[in-house]
Amino acid sequence: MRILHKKIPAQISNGVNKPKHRSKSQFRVALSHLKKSRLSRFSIFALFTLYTLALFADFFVPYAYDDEERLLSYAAPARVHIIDDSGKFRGPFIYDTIIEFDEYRRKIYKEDKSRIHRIKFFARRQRYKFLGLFDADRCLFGVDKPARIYLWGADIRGRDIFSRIIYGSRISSTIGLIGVSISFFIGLMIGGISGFYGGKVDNFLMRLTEMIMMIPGFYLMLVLRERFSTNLNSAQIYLMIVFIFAFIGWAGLARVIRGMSMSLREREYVLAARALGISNIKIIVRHILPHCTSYAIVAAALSIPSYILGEATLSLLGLGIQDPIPSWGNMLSEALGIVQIGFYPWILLPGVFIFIMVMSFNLLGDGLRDALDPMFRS
Amino acid sequence: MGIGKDLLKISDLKVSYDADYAYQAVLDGMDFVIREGEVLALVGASGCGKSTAALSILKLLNPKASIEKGKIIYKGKDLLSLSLEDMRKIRGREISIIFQEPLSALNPVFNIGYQMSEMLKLHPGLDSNKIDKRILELLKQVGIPSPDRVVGSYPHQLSGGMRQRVVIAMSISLNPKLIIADEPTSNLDVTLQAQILDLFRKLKKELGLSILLITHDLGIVENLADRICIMQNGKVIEEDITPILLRKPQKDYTKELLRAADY
Repeated sequence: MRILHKKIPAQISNGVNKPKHRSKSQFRVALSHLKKSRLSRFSIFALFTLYTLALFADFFVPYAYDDEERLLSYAAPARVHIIDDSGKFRGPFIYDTIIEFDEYRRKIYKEDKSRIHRIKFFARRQRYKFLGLFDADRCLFGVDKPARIYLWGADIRGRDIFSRIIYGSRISSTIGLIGVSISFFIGLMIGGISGFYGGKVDNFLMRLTEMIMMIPGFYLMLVLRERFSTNLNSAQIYLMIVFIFAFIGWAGLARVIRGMSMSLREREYVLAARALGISNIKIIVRHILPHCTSYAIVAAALSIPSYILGEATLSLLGLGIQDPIPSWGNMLSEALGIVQIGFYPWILLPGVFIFIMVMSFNLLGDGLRDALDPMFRS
Repeated sequence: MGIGKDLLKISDLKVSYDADYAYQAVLDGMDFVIREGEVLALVGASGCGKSTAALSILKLLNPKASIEKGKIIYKGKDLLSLSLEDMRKIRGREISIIFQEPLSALNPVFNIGYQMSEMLKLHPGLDSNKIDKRILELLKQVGIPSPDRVVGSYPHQLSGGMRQRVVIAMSISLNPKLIIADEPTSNLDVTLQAQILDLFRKLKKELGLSILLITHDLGIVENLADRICIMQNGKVIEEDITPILLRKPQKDYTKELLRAADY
């Protein structure tokens, strides 16, 4: 039996056992403050939705990300009807799209009203491995072949933008978290060591940090990308991007943590821990860094957006995730010309999602800062 | 009274602080001896170097301070010549220290049980079950009435006296031979002081500890100490067994000190 984790029994000194008022833990106090803020609630809801979509992407989309139909290049978003031409209620359905060209060879989208295609729920789609574990061939909605449903339109190769956005969210939703955890691990360790030891160690590590901070992040990113081979598979590219961000991202945090660590090492319990013969590295990890947690949590939430934007930028420039694997960044690279934006504005939709995710993390970060810092609590 | 052999011997110790404007010697040729099983009180005015002496025994001085010369012989070994790693093995296991402010000596983010187990994990051959048992035993030994409740609580949930008992329990957990108590009762009220002093007396008897008591409170000294060293300006100027020194002080400074404290 581990007594360390045993609950404190409810006891009152006069011997009568009454339920004692349980004090709230720091975590609970912060959580209740977070829940009170409307913006934080919104951001948590948005992030929860996006992460659910990313996790079960295969189920939510009607097509695989590389499932193309070139005849339907740049098909417009489907219009979902309920009532047909004769005024009869038919449930949700779509018409086939006919693409014609006017005299300037601009596309004109027409609906072929001769046949309706019902939208089926739990429809069949291409086989996939659900969560990578077991075979499945059902998805949330779809239409029978050969009709295709483009809820949010199609890109130049006739791939469904809705499906690709959902698949693409897997990249954006994970790259921030993984990148931040790696760079924060490095930042916390370097900052902790630097502040605790001081002197030459501190001098060396801080000059190194400043060197990283001195180079403009974007160019450093480009140079690092150049250092990697050009023929990498998608997983390797993903890892490479994470590595690049981790390499750039730790410096700012390390500097702040170093300052905190420097002031914390003067605390008496650190002296007491040393007097009791506890090793230096253990003192850093167990007695100094835990006091930086609330700062680190807020800083992490606020720096995730820069990772998401960084990945989007690299991919937009064609240096990151490569087609046909979708990421919000490389999907936007199709929208670089005024012609495309003018005629097919739906290819900008990934940008909306980047905006929502980045904004949600920023709002969550702000909310967390207010919740964790007693000075801000109203 | 001198009971056993010499446990710790400090001779001609000189420690200086590198302040920005001056280079100042805080200890200047300090000598004293602690024997096995005795309580030695180091008494002096504020700033005379008592705490510096305590910290230099464990080599925990501020980086701005440097030990210029002298010897600290513990069980025949010169502590000043030991490597950091060897010194770490002395800390806690052979010599431990109790600081005056028991709240700041405990880490506010961990519960008592965790902090004590961290110490005991340094002891080879103790599995987690034995560690838990030992923690309860130690807490009982320092007179905490409901150890299983204290184990799960955080420092801020305990009273000052309780915290000081926990700190004492931690300091004896690895069975050290010598405890340095740096003003262990100066932040406690009088009844608690008496209880903590009783505790020291009991531990000394049960565990055969030597205690280096650093204080400026002569009441405590009279109660607990076998011998007294009076310090002034980084030096021990007078030394004798307690009853003699308190009744027949030789040096003027000692007389003045005693008069100031109404003795």
